[in-house]
Order: sequence, then structure tokens, then C-alpha cells
Amino acid sequence: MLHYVILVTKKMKLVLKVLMSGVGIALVAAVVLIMYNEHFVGFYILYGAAGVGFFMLAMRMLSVIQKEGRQDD
Amino acid sequence: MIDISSIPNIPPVLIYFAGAALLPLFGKGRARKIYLVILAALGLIGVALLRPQTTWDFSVIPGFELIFLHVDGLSLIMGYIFALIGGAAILYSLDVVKENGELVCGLLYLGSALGVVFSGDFFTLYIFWEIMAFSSLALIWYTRTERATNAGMRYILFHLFGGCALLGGIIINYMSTGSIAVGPIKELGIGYVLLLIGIGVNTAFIPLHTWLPDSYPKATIAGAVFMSVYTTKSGVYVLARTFPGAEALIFGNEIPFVAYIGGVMCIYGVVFALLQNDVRKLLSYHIVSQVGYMVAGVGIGTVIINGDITHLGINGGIAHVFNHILYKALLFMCMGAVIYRTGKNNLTELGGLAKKMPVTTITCVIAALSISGVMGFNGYVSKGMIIHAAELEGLHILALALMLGSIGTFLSFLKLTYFTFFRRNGEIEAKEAPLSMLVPMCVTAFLCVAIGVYPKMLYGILPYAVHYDAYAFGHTLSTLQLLTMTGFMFFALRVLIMPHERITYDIDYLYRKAGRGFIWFCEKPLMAFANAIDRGTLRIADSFVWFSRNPTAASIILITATGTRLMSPFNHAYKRPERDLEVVVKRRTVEEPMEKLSIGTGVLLVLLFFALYLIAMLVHGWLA
Repeated sequence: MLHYVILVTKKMKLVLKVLMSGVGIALVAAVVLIMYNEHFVGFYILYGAAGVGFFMLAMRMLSVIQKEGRQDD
Repeated sequence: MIDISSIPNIPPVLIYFAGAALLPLFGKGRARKIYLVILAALGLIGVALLRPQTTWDFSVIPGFELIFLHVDGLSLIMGYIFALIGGAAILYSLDVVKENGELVCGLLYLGSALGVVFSGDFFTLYIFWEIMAFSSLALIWYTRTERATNAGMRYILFHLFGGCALLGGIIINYMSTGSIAVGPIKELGIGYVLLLIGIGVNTAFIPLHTWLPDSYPKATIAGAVFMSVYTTKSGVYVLARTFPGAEALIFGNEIPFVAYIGGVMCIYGVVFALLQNDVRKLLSYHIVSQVGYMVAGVGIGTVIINGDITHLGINGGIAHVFNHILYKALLFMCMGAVIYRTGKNNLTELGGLAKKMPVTTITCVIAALSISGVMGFNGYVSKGMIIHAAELEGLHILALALMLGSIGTFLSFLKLTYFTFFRRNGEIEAKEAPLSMLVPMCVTAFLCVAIGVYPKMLYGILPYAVHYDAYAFGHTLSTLQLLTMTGFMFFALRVLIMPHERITYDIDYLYRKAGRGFIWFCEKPLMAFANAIDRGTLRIADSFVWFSRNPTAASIILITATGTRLMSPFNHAYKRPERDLEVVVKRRTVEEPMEKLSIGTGVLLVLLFFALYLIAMLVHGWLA
């Protein structure tokens, strides 16, 4: 029973830590977003993701004209 | 004539050419090393002492002057970085290069690149341009493998084609403008196009780029460091001199086409770099991509900021040349050190070198962060300038393309550093690179960070006044978002960009197919046609010889034969024309001696000819 209580307490502490950290990060993000909202339209994050996707797609397409074997002349 | 007042401004090309000529006298031991260090220092001092706005010209004929030294802001910054990294490459070569010939070619290459930069006229530029091509060819051939020999042949074929185009352009431009001074080309026409093609070959415009990823990975370890610096960058320099902000009328609009060529190069190079397994081939494709940024900057040219005309595009392009030379040479040095110590050059065979080669790892990571445009490193400063110039100029598609190039570059260098140094590989055996390699690597890495942290160092030597804040909050934050997302995506999807041992085809596949087709055409149909012409000519010549032996007999035979042939269809009773013809030929063979005419008859014939000629002339005159 005691072990169970300790375990639950530990888990609660962990959850609280995560929650506190999350709230802290969210608060900082909110402050930065409010102060510099013109720079956080999400465009660059989306463009980064889309860019990686573009290169993955391009690599996949170009792999069609690749041949198995060592690169030579 | 040589201007005496400018004697202290010695063209740097002379220092390196003289150095190359004297090098064999120092053997291959310690004396050679000391000599090379002194030469590297002398070259650097020679460039540092050059005074702006001075020239060293030589008058061939009045109005036609060859300018061996033309110093201004643009040539000076190129001279600084060429001499600086030349010194680093010379130090790097001390232990790696065994043959004097390779070093001589490296010095000639370095000297001729400086010759291109400081030449004030197109003919001097062309001469150094060609020396550069041939001396760099030797750096490929010194690998002494069949692959290198073949790649060298393709390399020089491309550069000879580019050289011919450049020379044609120079001549046409001279004929139309009467000037050979290196400056903006304004006359549209065939000369304009030829000059652009000639410069485009060295600058690796798509689709003239294939010589680069084909030959650089096959150059010697030190040769690749030299080659990563000079050919493409001297091309960008000449482009900045001749086509700054060049525009063409396309669909009724003035389009800065050179800038868009840069945008295409930027993305094309990255896509192909991501597919590579050979580390130096990957770096070579990144040269194409990074040169794309420079070409875009030069193509944008001037930009209006707050009503003032600024040279933000050209400044950005040249700043990127400076920065790119630093980090790309460093990357080639790092990968050269890896190949030197492990003997392996494929990502699939490498890994686990971070603990075994820590200095190489740190310097390579610095170079990778620099080329990726991460804040605090030099690439961030110049890339930002070019993208900012594109945005100010309203070239939003180009700006997006350049940002896309940044994403791909970061992705590619995460791949390179991860699979070379950080991925686990218990089988690999290596030790740290020798000190002579590490010293130039550390100095170059330091400069990458120093310029990134304190960009005013670079701004001070740029050719035009700088109107740009590299660490503007918005720009820094947007770059941070872009790169953070790219880094996150790489670690999430790294399985998808794992290196594979595969053969990647580029446009050169088509060139080689076309080349084989051309050789087949030359060997088969063209040779058959040539042989037919040859046989026909011989038959005609034989006929003339036969006729000239006895013109009288030959004429009778020809007339009889023609008459017989003409009459035979109308005379059905006449059954055997061939046999009768043989009889005539036998009776009057051309072998029998020619009937001789008396002198008088000959004179009469000549007079008759003259009389006919006079009559013809008189009749002609009368008719007229």
C-alpha cells in the first residue's frame, strides 16, 4: 500500500513537472507571440516542413532514374 | 607602356607563376615545405599591398591596351579571398602532395585565377581563363586513375567549348563596341549570348554544369581543395563585371533572367546533392547550388532602398563568394582528411569518426553550419543579403526558391555530418589528420565563425556600401523557424534519406548518349559519304589523266561512244553497238602517241581563240 502511494506520488510529481513546464513554455510562447506576432504567422515553420517534403518527393522521383550499383562513369 | 609609378603594385599572378617555376629546384623534402610557406605568405602580402584604383597596362598598338593589373573594390575582395584560401590550400598540400608537378599546377591555377580577377581587358582575361582550365585539368589527372583521366577529358572538352564561346563573344563585342575593357555588356546579339555561354560554363549554369560533379570528386585530395575555390568563383566574378542585373525582354516583360538562372541552380544542385553517396560528389553538387545564390545576387544587381539605389544584390553575391570559398574549401579539406585517413569516400562506408577525428569533426560541423546559413556563421550573413535583395526587388518566387535551397542545404549537411561522423560504425579505423592539414582547417573554421559573429569584418571590404543588418530580429527569427523545422524533420525522417550505393544520372547521361551517337555518325554514315566522295574524285582524276594522254584519240572515242549510245534506241537493226565500240577503242587507243601539230598550226589556233574572244567581247559591248 505504502509502495503504491509512493508510486502514485512520484507519478503525480512527474505529471505536475510536465504540466508546469508546459505552462511555462506556453506562457513564454504566448508573450513572444503577442509581442512579435508579425514574425509568427507560421509561414516559415510550414515552409520548412513543405520544403523537406518537396526534397523527399524529388528524391523519390529521381530514384526512378537511379540504378543499383557503385557510382562510376 | 608600363606605368613606372605603379611598379610596387606587382600583379599577384607573377608571384605565383615565378613560385611555380622555381618550385622544382627545392626537391621534395623540408626545403620545399619552407619554400611553399614563404610563397603562400608572399602571395598574401602581394595582394594585401595592392592599392585600389591602380593599373598596370601594356600598349600593343595605340588604342589597344592590355591591362594586366586593374585594382578596384571588386577585384580586391576577390584577390584577398583567393590569396587567403590559396595560402590555406598550399599549407594543406604540404604533407598530402608528393609530386612537384601537382604543386606546380596548383600554383599556376591559383596564379591564373588571380590573373583573371585583376585583368582589366578581355584578352588578358581570356588568356588566364585558358591557363586556369589546363592547370586545373592536371589536378584531376594527377590522381592517375582511368576514371580520373576520362573525367579530365570531359572536363577539358567542356572548358574548351566554353573558352571558344568566350573568345567568340570577346571578338564580336570588340568589333561592335571597339573596346576590350572588362565591363557591362550592353549590346544584345550573338556576342552577348556567346559571352554568357562562355562564362556560364565556368559558373556551372544548368545545363552546362555537368563537368563539375563529374571531375571534382576525381581530383587529388589537395587538388579538389584548389578546384573548389577558383573556377566557378572567377566565373561569378566575371559575371558580376559583365552581366550585373542583366535583364531580357521575355513575354513583353523585363525579366532579370540571370537571377532566375541562379534560382534554378540553387534548387537543382541541392536535389542532386541529396542523392549522392560519394562525399566529394555531394560537395560538388553543393557548389552548383551555392554558386546559384551568387548568380542570383549578381543577377539582381542594384536594389532601391528608401529611394536610394544600392548594390545589395551584387554585394550579397560577392559576399557569398567570399564566405562560400571559406566554408567550401573547409568542407573539401575535412572530407579530404577523412579520405586520407580512412581511404573511404562513400557515406555508406563511413561513420563513427567523431571520436577518432575530433578536430576534423568540429571544423566540418562549423563548415556545415556555415553553408546551411545558421545564425552565428558566415553563410547566414551573405545568404540573408541575397534573399533580402530578392524580396526588396519584388522577386518573391526567387526569394522562395533561395529559401527552399537553404532547407535542402541544411538537410543535406545534416546527412553528411551525421553519416560521416556521428552514426555508429565499429569497423572503421582512423586517426586524426596530420597537423599540416589541421592548421589551415582550424584557421578557415575560425574565419567562418568570426565573420558570422562580426559581419562588419566582411562589410568593410565589400565593393559597395552596405545597407543591410544581418541580425535584424525578424530575419533571425524566420531563419530559426525554418532551420528548426528542417532539423526536426531530418531526425524524424532520416530513414528516408539514408545514403545508398546507387548510380545517379544527371544531364550528362544525355550528353554522353549524344556524344556516342555523334561518334557513330562520324564513323559510319559520314565516313561512307567521305569514301564515296573520295572514290568519285579519284575516278574524275583518272578520267582527266586518261584524256590528257591523247586528247585526239580520247575525243574520238568519247564522241563515237556518245553517238553510238544516242543512236542505238532509234536504230533497231543495229544490234551490236558495244562490240563496234570496242573495235573503235582498239583501233584508236589513247596509249598511241598523240598526233603532233606544227608550230604554225598551234599559233593559228591561239590566234583563232583570241579572235573568238575579241568577237565575244565586242558583241557583249555592243549588246550592252
